Amino acid sequence: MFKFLGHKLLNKKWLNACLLLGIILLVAVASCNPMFKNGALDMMLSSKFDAAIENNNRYSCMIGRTGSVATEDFADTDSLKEKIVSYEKMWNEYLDIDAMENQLYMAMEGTFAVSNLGNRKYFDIVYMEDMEKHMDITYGEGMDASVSDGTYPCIISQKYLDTYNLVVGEVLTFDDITDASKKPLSCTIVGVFQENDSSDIYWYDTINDLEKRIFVSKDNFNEILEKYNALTIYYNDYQMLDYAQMTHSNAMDTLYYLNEFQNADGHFVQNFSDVIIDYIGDAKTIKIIIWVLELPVIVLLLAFIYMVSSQILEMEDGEIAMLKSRGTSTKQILGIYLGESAILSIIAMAIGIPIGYLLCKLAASSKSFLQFGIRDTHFYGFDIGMLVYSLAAAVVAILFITLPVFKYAKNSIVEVKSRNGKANTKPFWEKFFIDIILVAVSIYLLYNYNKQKPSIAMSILSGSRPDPLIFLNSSLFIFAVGLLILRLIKYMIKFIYFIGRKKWSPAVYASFLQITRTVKKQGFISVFLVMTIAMGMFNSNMARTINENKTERLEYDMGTDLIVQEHWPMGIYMDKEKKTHWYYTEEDFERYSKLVDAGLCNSVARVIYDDEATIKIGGTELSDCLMLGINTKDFGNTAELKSGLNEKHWFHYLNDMATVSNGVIISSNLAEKYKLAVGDSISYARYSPISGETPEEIASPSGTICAIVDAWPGFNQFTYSKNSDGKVEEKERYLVVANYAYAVGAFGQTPYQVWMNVADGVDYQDIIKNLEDQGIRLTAKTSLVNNITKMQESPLVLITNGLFSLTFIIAVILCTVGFLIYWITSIKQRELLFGIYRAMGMSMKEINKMLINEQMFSSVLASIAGYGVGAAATILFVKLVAVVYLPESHNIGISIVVNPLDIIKLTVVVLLMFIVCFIVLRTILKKMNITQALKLGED
Amino acid sequence: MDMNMIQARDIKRCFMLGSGEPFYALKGINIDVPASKLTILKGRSGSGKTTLLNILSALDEPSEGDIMIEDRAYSAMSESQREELRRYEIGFIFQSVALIPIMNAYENVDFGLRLAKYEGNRDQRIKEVLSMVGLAARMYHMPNQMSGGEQQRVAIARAVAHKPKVIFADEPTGALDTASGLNVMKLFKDLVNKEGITIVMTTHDPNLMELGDVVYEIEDGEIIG
Repeated sequence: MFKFLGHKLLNKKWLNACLLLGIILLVAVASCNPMFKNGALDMMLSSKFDAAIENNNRYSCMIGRTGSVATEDFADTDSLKEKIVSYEKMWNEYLDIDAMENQLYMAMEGTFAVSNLGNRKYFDIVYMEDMEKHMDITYGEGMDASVSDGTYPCIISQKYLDTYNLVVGEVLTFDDITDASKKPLSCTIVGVFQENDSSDIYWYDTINDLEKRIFVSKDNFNEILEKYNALTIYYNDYQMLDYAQMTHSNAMDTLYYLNEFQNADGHFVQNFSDVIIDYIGDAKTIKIIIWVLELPVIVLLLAFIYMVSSQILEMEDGEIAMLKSRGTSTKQILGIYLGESAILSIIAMAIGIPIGYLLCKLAASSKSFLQFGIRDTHFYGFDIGMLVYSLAAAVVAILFITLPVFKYAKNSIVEVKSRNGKANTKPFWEKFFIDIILVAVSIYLLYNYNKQKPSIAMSILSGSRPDPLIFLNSSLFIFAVGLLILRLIKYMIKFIYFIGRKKWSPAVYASFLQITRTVKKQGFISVFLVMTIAMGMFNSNMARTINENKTERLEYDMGTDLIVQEHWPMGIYMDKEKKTHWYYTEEDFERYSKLVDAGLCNSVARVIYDDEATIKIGGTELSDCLMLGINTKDFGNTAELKSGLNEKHWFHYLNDMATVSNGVIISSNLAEKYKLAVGDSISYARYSPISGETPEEIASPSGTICAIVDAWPGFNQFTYSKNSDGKVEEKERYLVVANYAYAVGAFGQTPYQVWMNVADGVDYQDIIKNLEDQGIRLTAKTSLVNNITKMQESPLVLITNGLFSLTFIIAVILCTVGFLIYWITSIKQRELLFGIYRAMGMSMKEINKMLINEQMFSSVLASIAGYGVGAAATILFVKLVAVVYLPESHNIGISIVVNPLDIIKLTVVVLLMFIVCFIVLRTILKKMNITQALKLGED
Repeated sequence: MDMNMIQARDIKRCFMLGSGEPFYALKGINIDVPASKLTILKGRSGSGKTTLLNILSALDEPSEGDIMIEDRAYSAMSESQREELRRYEIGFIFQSVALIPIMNAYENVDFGLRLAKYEGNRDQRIKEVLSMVGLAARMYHMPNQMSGGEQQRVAIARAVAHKPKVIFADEPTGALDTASGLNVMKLFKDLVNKEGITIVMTTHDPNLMELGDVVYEIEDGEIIG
């Protein structure tokens, strides 16, 4: 049996190879899904933890316990630790994540201490486990130092030594902590310490957090506990979990246990359930989008498999009928095809899964549409789900191959002989106008979604998952219009045939009849062509639009290539009335100007950037406005603004302001709101950097409006924040730009951002390094390149680029192979027919003409229509789908981006396909011997 | 007097076997096909009669020897001239699936006329020849909606429609039952007698032999009678 099936498969090796290719790709795409999804989820989870750590300035995967115990229950640190460890054990039993570090802190209830130098301060006496390993003594000795006089050695952080003006050697006496003989506790400061690595995750509570503490050794802490009258020990136990071990598979469980622990234990603390909740929300979107983006290509693959399988069956229907007439049952025939497809599917799984793995790695390295880079793809690894998905794909493939067998296996040889006569019945969809109905449905959906666009954007901003129909509707449209076009082409051919029916040459006559009489078969490849080309175009335009618009917005939001902010120490003094004053001294700007001389930057500019400024117009005050202080010339050279956003080139506005010292440029939304015009005055205020109960205004200079702009480098008119209900709200923001010198005059020296226009080919990190090597302490640095890379790596963009690229590549492969297969088999099937044509005296030239004509009216026309459908789908759907990716309102509206290179690539592939196909067909026909071909008719 | 339409002289046709040895399907055949007569090539299958018919009809070329049609030698003709010969002066009837499956009876005949650049009223001629073969009523039927005999009659109509000088028929009755076969033969006789067409056909059916004006018997690539 096996031998028979093998022989049968080899008999039609080319068609079966195509079938195999189809199943391999299907398996690959299916097995790609879980790997890609889980990889994307893990990557997203990991980046959410990274972001949380950056935002919170604290390790953000911590669980622990804080509480207090009575000293009478726990005599020493070890017994307390035993209790704490019992909790840790319980957590670790449920959570499958290792702790990387542990910060255990125990403190005796604090009290005021008086030092021998007259300082009176409040201190806790603290023991921290393993503290010695994570700190350096910067001055003096460690807490094991021996001191006389019955005092205990303790150490203190550098920061609080400075803050409290303490000195090493100072003795602190705690009057309220006494031993049995009522003698108060005394500690001598023996050393000053600092963390030995500021990024050490041990310091969950940082030294800054551990204000008002002195630290003693474990032995001394125990001794003090034993001898003195402290009643309570406070403790914090923090476990720093390895969030790299947190994955899509255990995130839900982890969240569940965190809640359980919290409910069961009021002292339990953790700081990352928000991260997981946020992740779970986004994960829904990722899962949906991966499916939605893969679905069209899966449908295309199934259609391909069905097409090839039908082609094989058609060629074998005589064989099937013969088997039937010799008494083989339908079941047995089905068995043969089931066996064949099972063999193919097993081979396909063996090849498809590794290919799926590679495709996934490729997709994960995508930078943009059809652009792949070297990227860390370690999140994407083999997943057990791949086996399940590929098995499912194989089963579906087998179904698609064997189901049409029913149709053939039912027929006897007599019915086969008369089948061709019935091949002219209209296909189902054509008879019931399914194409027109589907086009109408898709347009209706589009109309509805377009109406709801603002609310869709807001719901996506609030974290809801996008409606998959928004995506699928475009595929539906392409498919439905593909069918409609097929109908129209058929009408057109009939019409053309009709108008010249008396005069057509034999070749044209035969080709027209060929097309109209085999429309069912031709229709399939035509729709396939329309869909592939239209989808290829739509996907490329979609991906380009998302990438370009995202990049453009990032460019706009930053306004230049690199922005850094240096730490300026603040000077403080008190005047006679005990009022605190502050001042800044400008750091040397030369160090930045030198970057231009060194060829690292094209230009640099000082920019006072304050997004908490207030604009005052008449009696009204608008808070949280953006105020920029700029040197017009430097700013013009350094900042960049896309053209076309303002009425005039933005340099005009800079020039307008340059000549008026108190001149300001304001945003048009402000001008509209308060009916302001050039020449009017407004005031703008900034606030003191020292935070008090209420912000204190530094000054509120008045400015003359020199220009009103719609867009400005670094100014985004819209901000989003969550309101008390957790709903995202859009808020309008206003801009005022002033001359730098005038702003300094009004507000005093102000720490500014340095904007840099980076020279071509220079890595921004070299600039940062250059600055840091000069000893500049940067408190903030933002790089456009870095932002763009981050955007490209963000899961949503990555999966979209990756899958659109994959889909495109697969569609092109399918289209080429499908097209060739269709034509080759169709020629092979028609060999006898060509023999008759040749015998009747048709020349090769005429046969070629006939084939060209046939291709013109079926394939070429369908391809051209494919471009039309792709363009229509782009115009109709891209802006809607882009809302899922770019839901925020922005000064730069979403604009459709078409990369002609993609279209050219696609066209080259299509043209190559036609040329190769034609050459192959010609070769087959040339080799064909008339007498040989005619013999085919004799069996 | 009898004029010869086709004269074949010393025709040999050699095929290379898989073993590399030459095999002579025709071993030096001399044959005269008289004009306006029904010539029958008789022989068992494998005798070489179809090979001979293909060569006589300019579908295949002999390895040696030459054929003259009305004093024109095939060897002196180019490929395209031979195509024109087949197109304008010859009609073909093949053993089984002789019709173009995507065209109905009417269109099959029309196609032949278009190929032969028929000068007159095509529509009228099509109806005429289809009536002649008794299929006027089934004009718009597709080949697969017709019986084998009907199909063969359409093929005959197509072969004669453009008024060729010679019709070649390879086992025209091979796939038909006796009655249909005789029907076809009767049509051939009528064409020869009434329209003066020359017909060359092959058959292995001894019963049809007596209907031929000239009969050649072929065995192992040689004329034996």
